[in-house]
Amino acid sequence: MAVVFKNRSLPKHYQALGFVFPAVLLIAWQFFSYNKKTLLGPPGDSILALWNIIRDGTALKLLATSMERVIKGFLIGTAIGLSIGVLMGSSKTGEKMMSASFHGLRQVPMVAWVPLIMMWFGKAGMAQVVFISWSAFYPVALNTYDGIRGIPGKYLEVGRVYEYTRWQTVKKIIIPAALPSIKTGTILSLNMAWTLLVAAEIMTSEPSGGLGDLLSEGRETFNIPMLISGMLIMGCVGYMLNQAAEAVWGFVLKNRPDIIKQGGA
Amino acid sequence: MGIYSLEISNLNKKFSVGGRDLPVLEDINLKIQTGEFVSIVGSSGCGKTTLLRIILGLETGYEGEAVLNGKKITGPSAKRGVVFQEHRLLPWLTVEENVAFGLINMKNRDEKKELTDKYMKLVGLKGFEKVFPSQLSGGMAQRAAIARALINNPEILLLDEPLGALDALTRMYMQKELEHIWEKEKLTTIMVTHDIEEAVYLSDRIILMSSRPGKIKKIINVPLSRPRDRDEIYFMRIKDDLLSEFHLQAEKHFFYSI
Amino acid sequence: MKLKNIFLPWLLPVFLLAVWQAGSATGIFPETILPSPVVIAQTLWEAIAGGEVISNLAITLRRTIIGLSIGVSAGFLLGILTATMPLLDALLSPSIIAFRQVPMFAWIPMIILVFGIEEGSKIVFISIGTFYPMVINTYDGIKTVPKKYLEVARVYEYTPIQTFQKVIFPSAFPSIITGLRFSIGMSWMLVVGAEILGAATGIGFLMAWSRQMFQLDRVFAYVIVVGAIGIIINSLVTGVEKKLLAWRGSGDGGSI
Repeated sequence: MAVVFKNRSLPKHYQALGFVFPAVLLIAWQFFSYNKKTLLGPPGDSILALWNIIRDGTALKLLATSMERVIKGFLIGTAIGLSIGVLMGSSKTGEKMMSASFHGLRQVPMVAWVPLIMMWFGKAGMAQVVFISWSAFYPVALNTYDGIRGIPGKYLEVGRVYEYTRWQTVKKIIIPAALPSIKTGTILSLNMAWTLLVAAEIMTSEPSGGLGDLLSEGRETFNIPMLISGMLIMGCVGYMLNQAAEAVWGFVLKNRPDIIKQGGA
Repeated sequence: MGIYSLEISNLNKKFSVGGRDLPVLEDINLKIQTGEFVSIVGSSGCGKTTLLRIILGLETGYEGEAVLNGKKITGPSAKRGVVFQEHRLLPWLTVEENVAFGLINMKNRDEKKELTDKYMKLVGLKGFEKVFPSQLSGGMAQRAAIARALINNPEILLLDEPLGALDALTRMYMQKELEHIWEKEKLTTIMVTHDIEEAVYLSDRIILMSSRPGKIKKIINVPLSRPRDRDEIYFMRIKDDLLSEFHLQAEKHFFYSI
Repeated sequence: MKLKNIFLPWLLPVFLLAVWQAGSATGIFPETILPSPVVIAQTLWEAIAGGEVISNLAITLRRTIIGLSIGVSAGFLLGILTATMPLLDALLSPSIIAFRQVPMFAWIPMIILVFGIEEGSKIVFISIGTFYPMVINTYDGIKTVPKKYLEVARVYEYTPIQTFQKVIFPSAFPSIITGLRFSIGMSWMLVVGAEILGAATGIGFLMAWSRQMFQLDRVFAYVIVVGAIGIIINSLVTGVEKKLLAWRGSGDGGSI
């Protein structure tokens, strides 16, 4: 319990300990699959499967399809979310008009919309894009809305003193002040989009053409190496997406040290 | 000369900033008598808070030693009461529970309650037992912090700009209260402050520190009877003397920076 | 003014419903694509009265509660242990973070293969999903206990156990509660998703099944049920949270 009590932390090189647990896991996996034939197969099988789909281009093709869906859906969802968030946050009438519908629909878990969206937009990857737009919408809308409502009155008063118009206030005060929340919202949205893309792609009955196929096919054919390859790719890409989003925001906000600092805390 | 309660000798303290050692306190020698009220005054960055934290035992790794009632200070002790600049009441405990914070090892519930009541009353917080710190005003929160510091019957009371965050009127009122409590409890008290009038109003002796590195520049006796009158000529004279020391120092810095 | 406040929020939903109903009545929206609100309401009523909703909901809730209990307790314990023991932190935290990168729903095919399509797989899935918010928030809450409070405990010579009980745990409590709230919210989504993806019972299964039968009115009715339960869970959690965190207050004195 030392760290919390005495502000003492382990030396840097102890970070290598992080590899111990995965190593133990791998060794155990190898050991158990070596002794008897299991569905899982030794770890080498999964790595080989991963290498194979990367080499023959399958992985890239599936990834491209999935990425296209995520990016399209994310952009559409974020654009709508941002507009609704600004509208609800900066206009009392807008807030009152939207709030019941906005919060009411939010209570339905995203995945519950999948069957409906699937029936309406079933073909050609449309369903996935619509679904991802829908799931990217809420985090951005909510955070924008909260961010704007949380703007200290003192900033708005400065705008009133200088007789800013409504549009000037939105542009010069409201959006810059709400940027930290908007940043949080978009990063959450992207996470959500990636997580739910998988759900959307494995919920279709026919192959969707995206990374989800590795999972559904792997499951149907009991091809666990394929399944694990899919999970690995999804994990890595998800992580990179998150890093990319942070980097983009870091670039956009390079003149706002106040926000960067906040983000680190 | 009375009995010395606290003796600090040849104390040097450095902070390492970016691999370089930065002296914070240099050659501090100090003797404080039992029951004395001593203020440490200096501009920000003179190491006065660091000195207080050393006496408190939170700051370690220094040369020289600090001895309290014959025992060398090596770490914090419940026998040293402290009031920080921010009240540091734990927001999840009621005022009463905060005041009783130092009595955690007291098993007798009645005794605990009695003591808590006594100190709540002493600082004038009776009736606010069940209230949470977030519902208190700044002055009231600081009173609770004072009660918490006193409840363990400490050997010494350490005040780190305890009234720094309060508005001018509340501040003057609290200074009176502090003096009242000090006279009642007869406690050796060290207060860090940057308010010169406050120091003159409350202290038997004032230790003036210079900055970078922090050194004791001057020790001033305040031989005025209590309660003190801020408009009285001697009071004003001591205050002016101190102020002029400050201006001199500030000017010197100004020339340095050119 | 008052009247406007009550009236405004309902304007949009009522308007949309009216357009929807009118469109359905005039045949602009075909029944097979968008059944009318009245039909959906009837279906919903029949589904509830017929008992199928209640019995399947009971199954779904049972899965949720068991999975949630396992995930939350494991997350809580591991969060406390990793945050307070540096060695365990160095050993486990990187793995926890790495595993978390895999999108939750990507675990489902694997879990179904290993644990079958029965109860076991749902419970394992919900446990994993609710584990993360809990472990991360517990860990963060403990790691970010303000130093100033720890110093107060040191001044009064608290033992490590006392410091944990009186300072660390209460200070981390809001964060732990946030973790719990996320986990609970997450569990409802996870269970419905898992049931849509592969189950033979439960409210999510009903949705998936009705979709395959092209009974859109039923799908809609179940969406409403799922949303209603979501609202109930959310308001219960928010209510309890408010009670538990009363000390935080809204005054500026809270920001020490």
